[in-house]
Amino acid sequence: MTGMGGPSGTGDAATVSQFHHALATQGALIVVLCAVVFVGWNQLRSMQYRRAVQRGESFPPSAPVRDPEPATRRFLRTAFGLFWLFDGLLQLQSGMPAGLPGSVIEPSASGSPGWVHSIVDFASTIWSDHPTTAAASAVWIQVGIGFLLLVAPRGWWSRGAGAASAGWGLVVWVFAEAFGGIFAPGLTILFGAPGAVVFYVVAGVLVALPDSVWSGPRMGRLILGATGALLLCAAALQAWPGRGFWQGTSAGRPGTLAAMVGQMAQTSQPHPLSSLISSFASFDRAHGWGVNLVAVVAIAAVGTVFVLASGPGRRVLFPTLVAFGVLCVADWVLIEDFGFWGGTGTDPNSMLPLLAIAIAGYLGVTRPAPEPTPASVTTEGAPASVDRDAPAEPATPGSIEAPAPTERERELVGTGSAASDTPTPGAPAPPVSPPGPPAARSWWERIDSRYAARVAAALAGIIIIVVGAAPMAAAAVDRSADPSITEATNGPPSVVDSPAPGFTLTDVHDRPVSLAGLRGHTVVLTFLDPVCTTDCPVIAQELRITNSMLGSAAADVRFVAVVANPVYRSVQDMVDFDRQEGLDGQANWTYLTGSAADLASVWDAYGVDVETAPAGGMVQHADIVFVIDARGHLRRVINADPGDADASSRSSFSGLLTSQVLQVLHS
Amino acid sequence: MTRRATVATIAVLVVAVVLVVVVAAVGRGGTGGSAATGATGHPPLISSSTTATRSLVVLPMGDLSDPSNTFWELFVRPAGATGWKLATPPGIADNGGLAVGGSPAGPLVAAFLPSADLTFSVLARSTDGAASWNPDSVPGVVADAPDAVTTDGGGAVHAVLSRPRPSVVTEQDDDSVWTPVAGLPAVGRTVSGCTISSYTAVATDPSGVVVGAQCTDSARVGLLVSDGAGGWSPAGPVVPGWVAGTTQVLRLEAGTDAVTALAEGTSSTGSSLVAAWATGTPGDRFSASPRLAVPPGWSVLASSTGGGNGQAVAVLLGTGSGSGSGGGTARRVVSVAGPGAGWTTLAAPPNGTSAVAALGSEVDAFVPAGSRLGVWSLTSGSSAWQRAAGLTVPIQYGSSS
Repeated sequence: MTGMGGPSGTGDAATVSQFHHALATQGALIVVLCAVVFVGWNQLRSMQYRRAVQRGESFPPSAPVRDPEPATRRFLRTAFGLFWLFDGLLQLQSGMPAGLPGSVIEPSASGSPGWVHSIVDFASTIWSDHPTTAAASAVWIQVGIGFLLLVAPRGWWSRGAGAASAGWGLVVWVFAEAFGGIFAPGLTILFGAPGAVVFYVVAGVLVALPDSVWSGPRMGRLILGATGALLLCAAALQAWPGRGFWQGTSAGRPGTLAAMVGQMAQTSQPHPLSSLISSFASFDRAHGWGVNLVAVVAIAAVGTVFVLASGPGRRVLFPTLVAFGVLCVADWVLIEDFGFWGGTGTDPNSMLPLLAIAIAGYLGVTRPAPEPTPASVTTEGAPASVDRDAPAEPATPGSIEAPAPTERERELVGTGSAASDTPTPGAPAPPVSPPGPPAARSWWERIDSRYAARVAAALAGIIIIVVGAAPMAAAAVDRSADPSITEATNGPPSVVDSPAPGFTLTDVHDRPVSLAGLRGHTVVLTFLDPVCTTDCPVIAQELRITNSMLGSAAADVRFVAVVANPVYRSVQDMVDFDRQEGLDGQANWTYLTGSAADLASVWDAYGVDVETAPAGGMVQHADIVFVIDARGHLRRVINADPGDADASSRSSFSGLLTSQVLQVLHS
Repeated sequence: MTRRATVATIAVLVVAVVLVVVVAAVGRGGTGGSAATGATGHPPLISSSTTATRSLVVLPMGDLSDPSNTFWELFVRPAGATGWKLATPPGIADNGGLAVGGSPAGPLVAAFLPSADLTFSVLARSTDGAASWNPDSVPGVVADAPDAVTTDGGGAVHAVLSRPRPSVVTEQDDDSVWTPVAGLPAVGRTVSGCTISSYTAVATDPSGVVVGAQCTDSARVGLLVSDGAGGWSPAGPVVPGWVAGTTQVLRLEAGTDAVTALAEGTSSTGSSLVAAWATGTPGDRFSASPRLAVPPGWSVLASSTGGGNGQAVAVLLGTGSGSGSGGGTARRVVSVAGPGAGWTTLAAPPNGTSAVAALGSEVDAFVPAGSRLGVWSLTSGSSAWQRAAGLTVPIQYGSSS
């Protein structure tokens, strides 16, 4: 289930090392860019300070008066900012690069229709093709969004943070949570439906709304009402017969809830926790009907109160919220098992975010924001800089009148007049300026430095997001997998420089072909069994893909395969293999054979062992690709073992081989 | 609570109920029905044949639950020898299946069926009774049937292909030049009430090539004999009592004196077997044995031809899946001695029997277990199987994955 991590040990050492390297590199870039922002802010602050000293003003000036942020909004922003930060830190787990597709993304679509699988497969392929890039990007994007939510100044910056939270949350919900499993059978809020991250999306949308919507209790009622409706639906689903939730056991097997909890207990986690979860699973097996009854009644009761929060439910709203909190925590611990164990847990599952939404709704109902005042400070956008040159505006009816400034305040704010006649003790003596009209303030003088600090922090958050998102976006459009996948499993190519052993064999047209005759071209040489059922067809396809990747450079490359089967080595066998692999139309492809003795000598020369196996076994031979330069020198030896031979590994090998061939071509 | 709020609340609740009903309906139907297991549509590959010079049996061994670790093995027992020996041709993985055939006077030919990423068939020929093999090619994929390849006395090889198109092809001189058998009716044509849906077997007799087919909407055994001049005539008998359904030639073997066939007819009333024989004299037609009804839930797991007086047919029937799936599945061996004889049921074979071989005066049962093969014998007139031998086969686990 979403957020519930899979088994640990899903990352190999090389991939993990590359992941950490990517994080360190991107982290260094973030530090540098943030340092630039900090330097810029510090420079602004220094300039403002020097100008204030010149003018005889205090620094920093008084903070402008402004309406406080609505409690609901502040709570949402803080809670989900922390959630995103935590989720970003979870992405640091070593198992993420290699393990996320198989442990989290693909299982999330289990039971869903085919079109959902297609969407999830798209995301899974991107991650599998670029595991370290994707994993590192997920860290920075989520940390950046969390940070941005927490520090962005009021107004468009903060609303943008909300939009970012909603946008990224939507991406995760669709592509990595398979829409929270809502299209699969067995939907239950107890396991995390409709997907934890959907609450992040809701919170993000709410934070992105203008401040005016928070006036009055209306928004709070809306949030609670929607939450209540969700809970009522969940209660009905939980109570629906035939879905296995009423039975602790059925035909000797655990019921739906007990089975899921029992499975969660197997997740790698501290022993006391797994014991607790196992105990609950046992309890549910014995009392499944009662457990489900309690769950249904509790969820329905809470939902009803939330729906009626604006009316008769108002009186019991707080105790209901407390009870709901207890229910959420109990479910989070006993059923969702915290959501993040196992090595690939991505978030703490749905109960805590759902509870946060409910609390926000409660705050909106009980502590609504007052109607906005037409103060001197706008609440949308940057606070109006304290225009020390402008005359004071007359108070408008209904506005909150600011108290008349004291002489001290006038002195601090400045009225544009010359320095006051009474110097402030301890303050540096202002320079004597000639009389005349006050000097106009530059634009940078009018920026509130505290606001500028928040903007700088927000820029830092955006930098973190962009440093994560840019590589992810590039990976999404890169159709070839990262060569590091192959290097992680097969090791890096060996770089050599020695004369390649020569040979003369026969092609599919019975014509002699020698290695010497291919001088002037870069040769990609390998050994393939024409009746192989596994590795050789895969390697052939990888060579075909490499030929495509080389583009115009392929004109200078020859792909040569030598038969690696002492029994099935006829021209017809080669022809059948070429046709099977679609290589018969590739102009720079050559498949060679010869007598058993001639083939054996070539195998020996290149160190390729070929052995016939008894009892229906395939001929065994090493999977190696050699890159020979135009002078006839052997320059690269590459382990071509296809391993799992999935699409990512094939694409990765082709990318690696392409890069090696190009290096040899241009060397 | 205002009227407007009440209406809104009710509306929300109504929508919620509708959503719940929809989701629950989807969820209730989410478990999905069990996959129906239908007939494979092709004859069981596990088979044996006996001629005057040798007996051979083909069966799968290894981890039968894992296709990449299931290896089809050929065992040969020369005439007069007391034991079986491994004779699987080398040089290629045989996880996809193995069909072996050959006329009594001609060489043996083995066909490898494709598996995994290999999409074409190759052959192997032996002129020394499977002691050694030479590779050969074939222009396509050999049909998934035990008698899909054979040879004749002149050394020509005949093969039934399923791809690129259903056909029967011949290679005359071991020169990798294959030609389609002339004039053979195309799949889809109807010949004497038999609408040919596929070809399943090929054999040769003194008059030429005999081809076995699967017929739809027919009560006739789909056997076609050539006249050597590009003409083909139906030779299969209409089986009394067979309701028009699907008939399929499971086996087709040429012995010294006759061609032996085994066919199965399936209709809405059930399934039954018949054996058929023809002497090979031009114009002779196949005569059929009495029908043997296959009990519901039972199926043909393996077959054997050529035992006894050279015309015997033995069939291993079983419940559940074949190939030695172990305890919990019943097995039964039935046999018919030749033209004019009736079916007899032999003593219950050992647990796990996956193949039988009808030899001269005995029937051997083969019980594979991983890389071990147990051989049991039932001599003529005996009522109990005796363990005859145990062989260890060097199964190449993991080599095809």
